[in-house]
Formats: sequence, structure tokens, C-alpha cells
Amino acid sequence: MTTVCLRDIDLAYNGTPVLNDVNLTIEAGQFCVFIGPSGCGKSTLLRLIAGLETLTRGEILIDGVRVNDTPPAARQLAMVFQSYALYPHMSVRDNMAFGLTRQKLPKDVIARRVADAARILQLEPLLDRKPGALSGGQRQRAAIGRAIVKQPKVFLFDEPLSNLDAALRSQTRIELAKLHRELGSASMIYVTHDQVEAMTLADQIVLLRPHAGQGLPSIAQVGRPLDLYHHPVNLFAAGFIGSPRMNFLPGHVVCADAGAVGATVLGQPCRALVDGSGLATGAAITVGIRPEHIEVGDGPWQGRITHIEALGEHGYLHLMLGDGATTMVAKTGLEELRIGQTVRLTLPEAALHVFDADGHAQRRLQPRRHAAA
Amino acid sequence: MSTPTLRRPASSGLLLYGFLGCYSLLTLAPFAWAILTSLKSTREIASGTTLLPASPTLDAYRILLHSELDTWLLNSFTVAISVTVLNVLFNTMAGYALARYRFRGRQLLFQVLMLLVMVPGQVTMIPAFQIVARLGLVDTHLSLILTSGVSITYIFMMRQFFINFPTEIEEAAILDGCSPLASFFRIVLPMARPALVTQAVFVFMGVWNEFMKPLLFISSVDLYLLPQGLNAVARQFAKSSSWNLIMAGSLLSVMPVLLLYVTLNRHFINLNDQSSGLK
Repeated sequence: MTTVCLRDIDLAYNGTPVLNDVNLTIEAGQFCVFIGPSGCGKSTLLRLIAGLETLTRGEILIDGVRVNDTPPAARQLAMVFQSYALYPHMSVRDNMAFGLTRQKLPKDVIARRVADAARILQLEPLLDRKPGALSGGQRQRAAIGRAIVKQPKVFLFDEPLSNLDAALRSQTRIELAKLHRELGSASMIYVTHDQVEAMTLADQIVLLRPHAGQGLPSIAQVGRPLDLYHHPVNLFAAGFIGSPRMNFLPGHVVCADAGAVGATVLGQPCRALVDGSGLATGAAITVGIRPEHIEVGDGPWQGRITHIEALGEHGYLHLMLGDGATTMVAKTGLEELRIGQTVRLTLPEAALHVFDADGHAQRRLQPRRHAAA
Repeated sequence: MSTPTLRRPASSGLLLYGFLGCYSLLTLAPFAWAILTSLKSTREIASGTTLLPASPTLDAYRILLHSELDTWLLNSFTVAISVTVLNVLFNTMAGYALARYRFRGRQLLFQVLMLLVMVPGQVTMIPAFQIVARLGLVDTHLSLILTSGVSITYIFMMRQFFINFPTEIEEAAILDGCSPLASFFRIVLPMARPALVTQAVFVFMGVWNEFMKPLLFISSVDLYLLPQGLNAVARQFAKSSSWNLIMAGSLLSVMPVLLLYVTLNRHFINLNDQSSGLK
């Protein structure tokens, strides 16, 4: 069982910061997902762990051993690349065996490992084919097989599902989760920009933010998937996690204590069940609420429907509120609603998030379950 | 996918086929003339009255085959293959280094190479001869091989090829424990086969057909390359309108190259091989 520890990691290319002050521990056997917008450095961080990039500052430790200067092949890692990176002139069998051959393992050991991995991944009929004769999903399984045979301490996945169609992606996601359970002892570090993959696969999500040059640490939040969903610690995390995106409305504090925050939002009073310690009366805040938590019907806020996205059983309403603020509401039963219609909204106090002027979240007090729209 | 059924071409199609047919005739006409001339006697050539040979004869081929043609063929093969191997190896390694490795002076080196490409080979032939003479290699095949062992044009070609080469496959090789050399020979070179074959064919053809440099560097008859040897035979019969000899010799010299091209043709077409391991 292997722990990966990243300490004080910075990375810059020609003076341009890419990663800033990364500190992270990936526990043994954990499925850790790096997620973030494009350009935030998640693939770069993965490549740093693999040894394919050189860090500017900091240390990488695998099982407590510093590996900054250890060659990639000696770190006992295996990587599945975004493009699979199978050797096109070799068969699937030879692709899987190549790394073991370089390690000068006995032929019978190599043959056994290849056979075992092929059985797990249902690659047995494909072993003598070359990558050019495989479908996308088959190539992906071959790439995973090439990683499995190495029996690494840590698996690294760089967006392996990004080019599969939706059905195959969904199916492969389940297979990856099963694989993690089967392999048990190995940690997996997985890079994706897809929130569904992150939320369904991860034991731990590491949310990275872009613009490392602005002095903020690259890691915005680390935690379990539902922790990031229910308790984002800053505006960036709140706005990134969850689809559709959380609605943000400007407000001012009316009163605040450890048990609740009373605020004025778009001229209407509201109350949020968050710890208001540190918030002064009159302070500017941002109130957040997820589209699926806004209730349509009664309520003090009014919004004019500007667009309706009907997705079948449910859909999304795009609303224009007072002062030009826009918001999105997830709702079922859209048939009776029309563009231009005005609806009344309720923002349940248990569903509200409050962020101070610096974008830091006030601690939410309410249990996770609350009424959905 | 089923073979499409040929339909009667429209008038524009007829025009296109007509144009292509005429162009084909123009391209093939010199070859046809060469073949027909090689089958004529010197008397017939001297009279210059007919296109088709009145009495086709293989005398020209017999004369050539009784000369040292086999020696010259072997010499040409030896030099061409040696030069091709050296070129493919060094040009590819140099192109790979320029494309992949970051080192001080890389850009300057590349710019200097691009400047040198513009210098004609004829300009450097005399200095090359002087160097070869000082090394005591005049009138040896080594003089031709060493002075043709690298080509800047193909260094550039390989550099451009490797710039577009997928880096993730090489990174996978690194993670599999390959050293840079092992990665180059086990992974990169096999994937670069279309580019290597293209380079090999063109280098081989260039050396095979070269005349000036062998004429300058080689003086012994038994060391002649094929173009030199054929030229010597033709001059021997120069007074008797020996076009049949020249044409027969030219056709014989083209055969190996044609065979090479036909054999390796599929590798030219297989340009997407390097992408089949990727998404």
C-alpha cells in the first residue's frame, strides 16, 4: 500500500508559473481524482508525479522516499495516457510485455502477467492484433492492460475516457471502479475535467484552479466528492463543482452570529444557516445557491423567464432577476411555463452558501439533505 | 466497401481522360523511344529514318553484358547501399536531435544548416576532392561514401517529421524503462518507417544516378560506378552512333531503382502508421 506525498511544489515554464504551492497527500489504496478547468495544471501535476516533468521547487515522496531525482521507470508507477500511446508496430501482447521485457523479467513471468491482465480486461481475443486494428475502447483497455502488468504501486490516468462516446464512457467508468476494487492495494491518481467521472469514481477529489501566477495555491480544495458539493470552501470550488453551475447573487449582511447569517439579497431579506462568525454588519457577501435547490412558486424574489432548456423529465429555467442579476433554476414540469413569464422564487435557508468579500465560504451548519426544486 | 460501378463519363470526364492520356503519352514517350532505340542496330540509328526497329536486335545488350557491366553494377550497389545506410542513420539521428532535444545553440545550428542547403553540390565538390586527396582516398569507393554520408536536406526532412511525432509514445517508452537510445531504436525508428523508406529511396536514387562526383573521384575502370562505366562504353563506340548502347545502358541502370520503388511503394502510402497507437 503506497502513499504519495507532494510538498511545497512549484512548477514554472520559462518563468511563467504553472503550479503554485501544491501540498497534497494521497493515501494508500485511494482513488484520487485531479479535476479543474483547462490549463489549471492537473495533467502537469500528474506528469510531475510520473517524473516526466521537472519541478521548480518542492519534493515528491512515494512511501516516504524522495523521488525527485528518481527516473520515471524506477518510481514503480504506471501511466495510462490520454492518447493511450500504444506502440503501433507491436501487437497488444507485445505492448503489454514490453515494459516487463525491459525489466528483464523471466519469460514465463511475463507471459503469466500478460495472460492475467488480458483475462481481467477481456483482451484475450485481441492479444495478437496491432493497435491499428482495435476500436477506441479496445485500445483503452490495452493501455490499461499495459499498466496493470507492471504491478505498480500507483496508477496514473490522464483523461483516459475523454474520447469515448457517452455510452462507452459510462460503461468504462464502472469497469475502472471495479478494477480499483479488484486491484485493491494500488493507489490511483486520475485526471479529468468531467465532474461525473470525478464524483462517481473518487475517494478524494483534488480541485485545481488556474492562474498560478496570481499567488494563490493551485489546489482550491481537497475532499470527498460530496464534501466538495455540499461544503465548497471558496467561490471557485462552489462555481466549478456541480452542473449546472451554482448561482451567485450579491448581498449584504444584516446580522450574523455563529448560528445563522441574515442578509439582504437583491433587496429582499434572507437567512442562511451558516456560521456567520467574522462577518460584520453591512459587509458585502456573495450568496450561492444551486439551481436544483431554488423553489419556484411562492417567495419574495421575482424572475422573468428568458430561456427554457427542456431536457425531458426536467429542465432548466434561465431567469432575469432585479438589478440585472441572472439565475438558473432546475425544475420538473416545465410545460406550463413560457419565456417572458414572471415567476416567484424561494431560496431555502438550508440550501444557501455564503461567501465573504475574499471569496471564502462561511461554514454551513445544515445537514446535507434539503428540499429540492 | 463495395467497388463503385463505372459509369459512362460525362463530356468533362472525357476531356479529363483525354488530357491525362496525352500527358501519359508525353511522359512515357521517352521511355518508349529509349527501348526502341536500344533494339536498333547502329546502322539503323545512323540512317535515322525509322522509329520502330526494322530488325530488332539485342546486340547493344550483348555488348554491355560482355563489358565489365557486372562489376560496375556491383560497385554502384555497394556505394549506393553504403551511402543510403549512413544517410538514413545519421540524417535520422540528427533530425531527431534537432526536433526533440533542447541544447544551447540548437536554433543557430539549424539556421546554419538551412544556409548550407542552398550551397550547390558542384561548389563543394572540388574542396571535397582536396580533402579526400589529403586523406589518400582518391580512387576509392570510400571517397564517395564518406563525402555523401550525410545530407542536410534529409536532416531537415526528418526534423520536420519528428516535430509532429507523438511525444506520448516516447514518454510511454521512458516509463517502460527505455533509455533515450533504446527508445530511439526500438520505438521511434520502427514508427518512422515511411519517412525512412522515403529517405532511403531518394538517397539511393541520387547516388545511383550520380555521374559527376564518381567521374571526379574514381579513375580505375574496375572501380567505376555504372553511369561512369556506361559512359566509357558509349565513348568507345562514339564514332558509330552508339545511341543503342547508351539507351540499353540507361534502361539497365534504371531497372534496380524501379524494382526498389515497386517493392517499397506500400511504405510510402502507409503514412498514418504512427497514429494507429493513439486515439
